[in-house]
Formats: sequence, structure tokens, C-alpha cells
Amino acid sequence: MIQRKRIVMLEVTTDWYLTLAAMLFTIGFLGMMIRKNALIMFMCIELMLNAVNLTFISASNHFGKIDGQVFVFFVLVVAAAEVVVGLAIIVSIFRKQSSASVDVLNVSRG
Amino acid sequence: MTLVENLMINYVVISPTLSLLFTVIILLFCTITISTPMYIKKWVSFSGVLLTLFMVFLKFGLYSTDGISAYFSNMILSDPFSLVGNTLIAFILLFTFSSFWKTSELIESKTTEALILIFMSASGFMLMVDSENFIMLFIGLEIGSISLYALAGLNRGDQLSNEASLKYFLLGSLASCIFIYGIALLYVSLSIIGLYEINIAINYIGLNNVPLTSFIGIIFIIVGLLFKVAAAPFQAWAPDVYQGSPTGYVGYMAAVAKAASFIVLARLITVSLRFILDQFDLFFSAVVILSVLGGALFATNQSDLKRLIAYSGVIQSGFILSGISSGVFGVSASTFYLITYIIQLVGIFTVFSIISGQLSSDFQISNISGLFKENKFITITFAIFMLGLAGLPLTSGFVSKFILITNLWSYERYVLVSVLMLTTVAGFYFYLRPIWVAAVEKTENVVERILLKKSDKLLLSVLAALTIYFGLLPNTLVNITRWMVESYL
Repeated sequence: MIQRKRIVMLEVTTDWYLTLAAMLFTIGFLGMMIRKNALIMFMCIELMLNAVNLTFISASNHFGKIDGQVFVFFVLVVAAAEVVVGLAIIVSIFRKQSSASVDVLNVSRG
Repeated sequence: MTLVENLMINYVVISPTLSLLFTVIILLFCTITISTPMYIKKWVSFSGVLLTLFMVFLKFGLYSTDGISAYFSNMILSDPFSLVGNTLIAFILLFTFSSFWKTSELIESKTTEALILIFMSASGFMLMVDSENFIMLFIGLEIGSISLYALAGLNRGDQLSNEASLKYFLLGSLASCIFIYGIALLYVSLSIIGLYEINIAINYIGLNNVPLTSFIGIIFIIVGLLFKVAAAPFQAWAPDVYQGSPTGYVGYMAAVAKAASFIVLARLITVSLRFILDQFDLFFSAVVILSVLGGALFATNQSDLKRLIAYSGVIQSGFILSGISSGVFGVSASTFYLITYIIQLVGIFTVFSIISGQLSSDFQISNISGLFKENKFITITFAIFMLGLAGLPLTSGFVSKFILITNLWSYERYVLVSVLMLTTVAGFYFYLRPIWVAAVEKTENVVERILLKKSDKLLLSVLAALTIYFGLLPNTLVNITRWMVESYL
């Protein structure tokens, strides 16, 4: 009888998802701090919100409770609302200055 | 028990929000379906505000029969904090009505948009102060803030307004992300999404076993709220937004966000963190000291009055936070401070919008030079509000600072006390300078006589009288704030 070689399967636990979410959140946060294009900063916000969603879903799955998944729906709705208002603001700036860089926002200072 | 009974549906508890939404729908109907003249829109929105005030009054009735209770399957809470928050927001709407109406009237094509944004943000913040559950808290915060982002950029021809809107939007969304990630971390570590549950969970597992993640989560939640109240080091947006937004809206925007966020922060500390508050001592002290010192440093050489008020707001946030973070009785002192500060803030921005009288965002200190010569009444009320912010005796600013500092003294926080005293003294310089420019300094170009409407005169008199009244007889308000906190002891 041929002895089967034991395959070592890495089990993907909740920790992995949480770590991934934390990394995504950090990437988004650093992007907000470093990048100067308003659209990219906007995408970073979306990335952070999705990291939050991943955290909620994995934790909800881990606990076997539904409320975390309910929360995700609300976060998605809020993200959509933010897209509407944010893109409108960015477009109205872009029309005036034909640039979406936040460097042009230097009128008010002091 | 049926499902409906289990849900605990009670429309009285969210009636202020509902009445605001009802007003918004009527306003939409008045613009999109049939075009109506301005005065109808004005009366619809004003009666909406009055209806909201009446609904808040009904909530007091509900509280007196039911006591502290939760509705809508523990989503909405009816307790003294929510009552005080709702009353505050409804009165902010009433008192800023004349300034935001005047500004909205000037943008003819977007009058209704502005009114709808204002009422929607008020309804969101009312939900926020009512919420027991973090889902509700987040939704309320976002309804309120997203409307405010759009409101800041309503004057699209003005570059400053665009800039203010984008800055407010980017930094505000960042704050919301941090806030909700804090909730997520709390959910991961303790499997809770309610304010009460934090306290229960931490008591259940014992303070020493609480995972670090939940502390980080709580700090993230607090940081998200501190962004909204513009406490340093999270204040970067405030001066630019105040400067750029149309002058008539700034009073509302500043007051309502501060009121709602501080009430929620106060409830978070009284209900959830009361027994573990000393864990956050270092964090809160750092924020308070940074706010008062940084705000005072930047406020000294501002030529733009709205920026000056923004930095003064940073200082006042530091003051309020010092009380909230010191303990349960500090919360009552802070609420007193918050209410008196909001009266002065609303008063100052009413004066600004009367003087500027137009849509533009620009408001330099030179705009008020020689104001006293032709406009005695406006200057006197302006001086009362400014001295109230500075904390001169006989005004409410003095009493609120006095109560706060004696409270901190009894909690033995001598470092904070000395820093706050120092800032108060330094503050007189930049609070007195606009009064000096307006009343004493001799200039060539005097501000012309401004025709005051009777309603504006009444409004300014009421606000100034309240500032003096709470400075002379603070007992009523002190008792209200005591009652608010003692219901949880």
C-alpha cells in the first residue's frame, strides 16, 4: 500500500483576514497622507472603508453573529453617498482649475 | 410577545428627526413639483423648525413617563443626554435661522438645496445624539457630515468655498474611516456594537483581561469624534472650512457638529468608559494641552475673523474635553461650558453674517473697523459675545471656565489647571483685539450704518441676554447639567 504523502494545508483562519484588513487600512491611510491627487485620496478612503467591511465580515463569521454583516450594508450605503458628494466636489474643482491635485488648494492659509 | 412589540417601535422618540424630514419633503415638493415664491419656502422651513422644537418638547414628556429606555430594538435611546442634545440642536436651528435663510436667499437657484442640506444634517445629528447602537451612531454622523460637506461648497463660483468643501470632505471622510475602523476593532475584540455593552463586557471579563485591540478601537472612535469637534492635533480642517464657507452657514456648521459630537463623547464616557477612564488619561491630557496651547498660538496673529473664531473653537474644544475626560462631574461642567459656548458662537456668527450681508466667504478684521460709530447695538452685542468667549466675569464664559477649573482642581489635575489658566489669560489679547478695532481704533473707512431687521435685533438681544444671564445666575443651567449626569449615577 502506497503511503500518501501528507500535504500540509495552511488553514486560513480569521486572523489572516483581519491582518489583511489592517494592511489595507494602513495602505489607505498612508495613501491619504502621501498622495496629492484628490481622486487617489478619494480611492484611499474607499479602500479604508472596504478594509473595515472585511474586518466586520470576518469577525461576524468568526462569532457566528449576524450584526457585523448588517453593519457592512450600512457602510456600503454610506460609502455610496460619500462617492456622490465627493465626486461632485472634485468635479467642480476640476472644472475651475483643470487639475485634481490638492496642491492648487492654497488660497486659504495662515 | 409579538415581533412588533419586541422591536419597541415608538415614533415619539424620533419625532424631531421625522419632522425635519417632513419639512425637507415639503420643500422638495415646493421646488420640483410646483415652483413657489420665496416667502412660502421661508414659512415652510421656519414652521419646520418650530415643529421640531415642539417634538423635542414631546420627547421630554416621553422621558418623564418612561425614564431611561431604549427603543427600536435597542437602537435609539431616550435619556437626558439625548434630550439635551436634541434641544441644543433644535435651538441652534432656530437661532441660526435668520443667518442661513439670508444667505440661502442670495443663491436664488439653490435656495432649497441649501435648506434641505441644513435640515438633513440637523436630522442626522439628532439621530446621532439619540443612538445607543454604533450602527445608528455612524449613520447619524454620516448623514450630518455629508450634508455639511456639500453645504460648505455651495457657493460654487467662489474658489475659497470649493477649497473649503474639498478639504472638509477629505479630512472628514478620513475621520469617519478611523471612527468606523475603531468600531470594527471593538467588534472584533469584544463582539459588541452598543454603548452599554462596552461597560458590561469590560466588567464581565475584568479590566486586566481586556485585549489591547479594544483599547485601540475605543481610541479610534474618540479620535473620529475629536476630528468633528476640531480638537488639536485634528484641527487642520477647521480654519480653512470656516474661512471658505459662505459666512451665513458657518455658525450653523460649527455649532451643530460640536454640539452633537460632544454630547456623544460625553455619553460614551459616562455610560461606557466610566470605570476605565483613567486608562485614557495620558491621551486626553495630551489632546487638551495641544488644543489649548496650539489654538492660542495660532489665534494670536489672524487677520481673518472667521479663522480667529476657528482657532478659538480649538481652544474651547480643549476646555470642554478637559472636563469630559476628568470624570462624571466633569461631564456636567463640560456640558454647561458647551451650551454657553454655543450661545456665544451662534451670536458671533449672526453678527458676522449681518455685517457681511452677502454670499461671499471673505471676512477680514478690516471689515469691522470703525463699526461702533454707526452701529452701536451690533458692536455692543459683538463685544459681549467676544468677552464671553474670553471669559470675562459677569458673562457666562467666566462661570463656565470657573466651574470647569474648580472641577479639575477637585480631581487634582494641577498641570491641566495651570495650562488652562494660562491660556485664558493669553486669550484676552486676541479676543479683545477685534473689539479694539471695532470700537476704539480710529480709521478712515467706517462701516456704514446697517439696517437691522426687528427679528435680527430680537435674536441678538436674546443671545446677548442669555450670555449675561448665565453669567449672573447660572443655577438653572447648572442644575440641568447636573440632572443630565446624575441620571446615570
